[in-house]
Amino acid sequence: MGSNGKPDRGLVQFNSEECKGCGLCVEACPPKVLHLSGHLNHCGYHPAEYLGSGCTGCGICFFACPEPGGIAVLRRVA
Amino acid sequence: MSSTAVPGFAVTHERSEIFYGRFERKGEGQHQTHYCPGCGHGIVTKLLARALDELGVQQRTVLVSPVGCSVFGYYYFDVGNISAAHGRASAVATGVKRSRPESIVVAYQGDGDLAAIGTAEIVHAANRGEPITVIFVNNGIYGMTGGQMAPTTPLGKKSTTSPLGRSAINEGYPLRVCELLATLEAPVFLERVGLGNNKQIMNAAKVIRRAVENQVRGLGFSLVEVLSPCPTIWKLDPVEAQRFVREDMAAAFPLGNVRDLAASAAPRPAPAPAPALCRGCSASLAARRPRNPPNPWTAAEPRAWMCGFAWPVSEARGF
Amino acid sequence: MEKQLTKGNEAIVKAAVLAGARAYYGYPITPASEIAEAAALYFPRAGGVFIQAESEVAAVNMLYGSASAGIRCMSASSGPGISLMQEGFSYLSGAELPCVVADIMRAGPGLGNIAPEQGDYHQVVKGGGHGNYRTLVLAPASVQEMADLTTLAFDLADRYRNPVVLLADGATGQMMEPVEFAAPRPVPAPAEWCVTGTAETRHNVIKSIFLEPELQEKFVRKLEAKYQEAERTETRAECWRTDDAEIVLVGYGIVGRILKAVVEMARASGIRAGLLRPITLYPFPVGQIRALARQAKAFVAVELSNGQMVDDVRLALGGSRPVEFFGRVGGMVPTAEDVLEFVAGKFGAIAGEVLVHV
Repeated sequence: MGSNGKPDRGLVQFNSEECKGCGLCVEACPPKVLHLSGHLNHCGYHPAEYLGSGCTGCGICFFACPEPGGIAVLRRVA
Repeated sequence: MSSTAVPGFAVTHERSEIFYGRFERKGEGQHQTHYCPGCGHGIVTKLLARALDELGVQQRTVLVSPVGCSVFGYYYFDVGNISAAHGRASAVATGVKRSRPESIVVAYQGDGDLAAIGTAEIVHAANRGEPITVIFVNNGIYGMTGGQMAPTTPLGKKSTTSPLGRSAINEGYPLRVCELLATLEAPVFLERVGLGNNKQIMNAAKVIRRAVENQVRGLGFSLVEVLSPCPTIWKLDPVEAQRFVREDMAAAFPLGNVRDLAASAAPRPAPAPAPALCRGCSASLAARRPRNPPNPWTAAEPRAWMCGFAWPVSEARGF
Repeated sequence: MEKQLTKGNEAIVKAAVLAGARAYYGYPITPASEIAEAAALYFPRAGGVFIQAESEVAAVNMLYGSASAGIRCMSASSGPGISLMQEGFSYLSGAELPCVVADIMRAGPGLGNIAPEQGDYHQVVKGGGHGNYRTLVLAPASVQEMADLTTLAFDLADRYRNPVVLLADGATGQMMEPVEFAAPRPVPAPAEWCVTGTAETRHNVIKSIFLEPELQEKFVRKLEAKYQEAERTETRAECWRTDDAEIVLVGYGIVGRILKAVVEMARASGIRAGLLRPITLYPFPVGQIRALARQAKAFVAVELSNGQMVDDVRLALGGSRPVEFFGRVGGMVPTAEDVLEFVAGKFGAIAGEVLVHV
């Protein structure tokens, strides 16, 4: 649920084991709904995480991410 | 990632099919690239894969990988792969494209590969207008070998081989490849993009796609120079490194298009089918050969009876 | 096909096109430039590619590209240019890519001069580039052989997936003799390992890198096995009047021609001489040399160098027979009389030797 009460237009999924915790997606995200999590993945990085709401599905994080499969972005169709 | 399906949502951005499902790397590295966190190569790799995907040329693509951090392109791209010697990707790409004109040949090179050891090869491939796509990743430093100065290292910047900072007097000025190649007549497309912020990255995606598309359309030489962060060697975190690209690198290397003839360039004609070679003159035909045939080097029209040797058949019938 | 009077350098190009080669990349250098010029004329007319590359470095890497794409391709140069190609030879061998390169030797070291010499034996036969590889090496001694060995070179290159060097000299390159060329062959289909920009070859990778030492070693052993196979099956040499020879002269290329005259003149003056003319320099005709050592008392290696091939003659004989050496350098080509004088001078000492059982 976005901050204006409407359902989120988008959804972002992370591959935590592929993520290297570079933080570029966090920086890139326009509505600032991403952060680096507190826990470590098995490589020792803090993987990026979706805060849970507010994703607009713009897809910019996908382009900012240097890993081929680190991020997937979905958009609401229903 | 290949996404997890969620009811009510459709995937708009996910791991490209251009990438191998599993990377042939040691042990646990098979699910991630070898690139450092925040490395520009990782982003360029993704943008190139997306361009190949959108243009539908996966089956036809041949990627020529260089020596440098991007040496392992063949781990990632599920296309025909050739690994070239340092600096020589443009020459190797020339050999491939001339031999297989229907293929889409992409030469991927870093700043040492293209602008130091490979300067002759890139200039001449561009000058001949080889209809290839060159992706030139410029991060202003030699990453793989540990941080030596590159031809594109900005003035004043320290490196392991310019510990006092690059000085014009000793090391010369950073080399501007796009501008250098723009003095040549043949190149069809030369543009410099950056990875310094969202807008630049999205623009880079479009420009890389155009550089590949030019080749699909049969136009000439296209090169994209990508100003790229190297957080590890620059000793900046990825977000600071991105700012370095946006501010310092872009100051030394102006972003923008330097040459765009795509609208007016005509597609190259398809090569003519190779002629059959004749099997040489029979004795009776040989007898009809002139006693003093014209010199093949200077004759206006070489004729079959010059060689008895396998001249193309259509001309062999000429006498 | 009927014979035509052809220059050595040009014969290479015609034979290459007839053998199905369709790409030439090269840089001019005396005394090999006619090869590039003939290629500029003939390769495009046969539907192939010709590029005058910006350097030999670029040329050998264009070969790497065409070979990867499954096209029979070649280049030509002389000593200084071949030196530049050595990195390329190493990469081509390491990536198991076939191609043919002609080295029309001139005097060295450095810029030297443009007269004939045989000073590139070491760099070409022993592998002048880095790493554990070899190039197969063929040594023509006539214009007919310039043609025939070019055809053979392409076949060997494909069979062994390795570069093959045609090691000639300025004399063989420039001389004109009648040649009967082979019938034209169709352009072969690309091998299944090539990268041709098609769905079938999408999964292929051409590379010479093996990060893990275990894998690199395994790969080098694989190359070794190829070379050992070539050593077993591909040696070629011409034996001229060696059946009863007491003293065997060994020389290749233009020297082989001179030594034939020396053999005749020696026999006329009572010396039972014979000639072994290696045609393959790698693999070196070790077996043929050892066979001759059964009745020959001594060997004389003659080269236009200060002693490069002679080492291989000595290695082949393993100390079982004395090996004398006669060499001229700098572009000086000895007359048959010069060589005979040397041989006769040595033979007197050898004549009385008791033959050690080999």
